Amino acid sequence: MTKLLEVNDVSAGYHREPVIEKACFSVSQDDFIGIIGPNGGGKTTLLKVMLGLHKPFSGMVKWFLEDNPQSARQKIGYLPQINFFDIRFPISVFDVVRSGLASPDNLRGRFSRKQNHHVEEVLRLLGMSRLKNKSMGMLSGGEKQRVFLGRAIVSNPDILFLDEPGTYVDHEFESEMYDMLKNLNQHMAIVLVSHDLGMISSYIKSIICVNRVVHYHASNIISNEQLTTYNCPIQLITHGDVPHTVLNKHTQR
Amino acid sequence: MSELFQYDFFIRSLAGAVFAAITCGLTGTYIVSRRMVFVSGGITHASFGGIGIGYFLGINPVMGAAVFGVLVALGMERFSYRDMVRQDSLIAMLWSLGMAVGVIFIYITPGYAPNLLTYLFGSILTITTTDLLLLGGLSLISILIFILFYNTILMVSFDEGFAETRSMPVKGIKSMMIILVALTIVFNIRIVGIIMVLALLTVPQAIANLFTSNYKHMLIYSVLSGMAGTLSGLAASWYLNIPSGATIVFTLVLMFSMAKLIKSVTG
Ligand SMILES: Nc1ncnc2c1ncn2[C@@H]1O[C@H](COP(=O)(O)OP(=O)(O)O)[C@@H](O)[C@H]1O
Ligand SMILES: [Mg+2]
Repeated sequence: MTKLLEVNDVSAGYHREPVIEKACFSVSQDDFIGIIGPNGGGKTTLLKVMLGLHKPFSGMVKWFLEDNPQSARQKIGYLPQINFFDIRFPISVFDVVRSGLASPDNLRGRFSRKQNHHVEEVLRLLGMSRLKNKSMGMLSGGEKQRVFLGRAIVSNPDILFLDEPGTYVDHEFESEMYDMLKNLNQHMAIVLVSHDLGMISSYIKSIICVNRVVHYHASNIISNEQLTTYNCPIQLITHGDVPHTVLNKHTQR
Repeated sequence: MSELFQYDFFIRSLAGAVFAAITCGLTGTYIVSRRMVFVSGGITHASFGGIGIGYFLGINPVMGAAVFGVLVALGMERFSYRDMVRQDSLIAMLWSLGMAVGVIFIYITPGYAPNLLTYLFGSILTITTTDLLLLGGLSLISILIFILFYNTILMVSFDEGFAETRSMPVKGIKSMMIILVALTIVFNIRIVGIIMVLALLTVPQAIANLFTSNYKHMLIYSVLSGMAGTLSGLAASWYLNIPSGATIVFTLVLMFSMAKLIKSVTG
């Protein structure tokens, strides 16, 4: 399996306060990794460090996609964790999805007919064709999340990062979305952040627990005891083939 | 001779009003959509420091304000980026500091400061050829920037974190735009004055926003409603013989209220 990215003994945080420590793992071509942990545990920070949006205190993140980090970034899809209450920006659904194709070689933002066509296709895949000219501010939370998913996958990335894509969407679309991701996983690696393992456990292939300390776990089956030793107080709900383990809810939310 | 002078002054004022609507309509849309109204207020007032320094050095106060305004704008952008101070506190500090610097330099400048009130309240009727050339040039540059980089400006404004993951030159675009904001503010001070320039940057956009939430349409409608406001305000100030800057602002807000009323009646 081709290695895409290696995280080597990374510590990171804000204003000299460490938030994550000892992150050591790699992401390979067919991976579908679930990053789990409590709120405030450092999941988003870890993702930002992997994406090069946040500088680590120590350790390093190594990309194997391209020698040049700038062109490597063009092969990444990213769905950030977003506070949807703030989105009243006058931008259309179509323009948001198409911004996933932006590149520094195309500062004038002239997109080819083929690219525009591909945007339409992604919108169709997500059931958003009808709303393509609507302004983002007028969409429901779930619809916005679909648009951001579209923006993340429209470039056909080699590796797709998703930060809590299940928030704001209804259960029906959530499982539809995970099925879609399972399909996409046939030709791209996926790194998915979630604060609960419930929905995602049957889709992911390996788990990273983040609660300040970062633990890599090479399978999608994780037990109560392991979570406790990882000090990863998350809620485990059974789904499909995963063994039935229910953790006590942690007091911190 | 006097008729020719009348005519010349008429044309100048009209040109000033049109250029003000173009520059403020375009850049104001960037400001409003990115919620940078407070930053813009800071740049506006801080640039008074440049006016004071201009008087003291005996150079054109507009030039002083342009240099000072651009530096302050870049400073606000840079320090907020480094996350060292709360951005709103920093803006408030620079806002008052600029005013203080202006007052001190005007005080220590020998003699009195001619046209000082012009900078505070604007005076489109006494606009000079230099002012017009600056504002006309800025109109052209603004139009070019928005045509050339429309999609990039849109995506960086909407989500700069994402734009960074696409390796877009986020800092470069933001610096270019904050310089455009500062120059737009400073060159329009001649039209409506420091006290009221914020209205030119926000009211046309508020009117446009009643009818569209599409960025491109907002740019166009803001320029058009800005023109309607500045030109009819100018006409009103001629007929009623009242100050032009104040009349333009009054007209714009009146237009907004009427548009809002029409909108709520027609649904
Ligand atoms: N920009 C920031 N500045 C300072 N502290 C931050 C910043 N972003 C996150 N933090 C802190 O870092 C910790 C981890 O945050 P985050 O990575 O967002 O956690 P998670 O995504 O797991 O909920 C939290 O305590 C949070 O308050
Ligand atoms: Mg998070």
